[in-house]
Amino acid sequence: MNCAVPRTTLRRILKRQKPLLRLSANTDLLVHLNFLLFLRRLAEEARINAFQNKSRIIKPEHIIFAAKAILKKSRG
Amino acid sequence: MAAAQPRPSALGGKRSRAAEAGAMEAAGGEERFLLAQRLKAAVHYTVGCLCEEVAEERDVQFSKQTIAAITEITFRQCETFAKDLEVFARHAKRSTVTIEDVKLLARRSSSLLRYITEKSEELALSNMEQKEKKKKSNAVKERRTGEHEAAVTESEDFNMA
Repeated sequence: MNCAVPRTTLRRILKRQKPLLRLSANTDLLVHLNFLLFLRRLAEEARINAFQNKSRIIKPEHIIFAAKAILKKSRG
Repeated sequence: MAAAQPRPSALGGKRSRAAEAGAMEAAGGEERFLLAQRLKAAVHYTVGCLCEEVAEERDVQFSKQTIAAITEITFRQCETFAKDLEVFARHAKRSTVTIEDVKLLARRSSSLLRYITEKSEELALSNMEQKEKKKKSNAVKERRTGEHEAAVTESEDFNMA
């Protein structure tokens, strides 16, 4: 079965940010889990933003507002 | 300041009770509650003082409810701070919380991190100075005692080592 998690991509992204950082085995899976939870929170926040603006579709500005809040919240 | 002024008397009244509780040396639920109350009163007093300073600076007024709310927020925040510091120290396989842990706690906002780093450097400097002073005064004392004891050469060698 094919692996659903883009492990090499994740590792490459992390490597681009921090070339000297080494990841131990299966850490990238936890990173992926963290990323999924982040996307979920972002989606919820954007939906709430769109709902408050009485918009039936999520527009870029809703995402931008949500991203500001959620990025701040998800700092380690 | 009006909100903070009645606090010292209340604090004093609670202090005696808490002292009794401490004497019993049994941290039951009620005594714990009393300690928490005492702590909250102390935090409330300090918050009142700080708010008064800000009020003078900015020319605004804080209502009693505002000060009480800030106290409550500070109290809750301290719980998370304590937990985080504990976890950071444990992560470094230490059981003592150090300045590094506190810096890690403040890493989220860069300005706060800079401020805390400056403060910690100041503290380290003053600590060094105090230690040097202590060393000097100790050396002077040792020299004096050595003179008083008619300077046995062996003891001086011991001091040098």
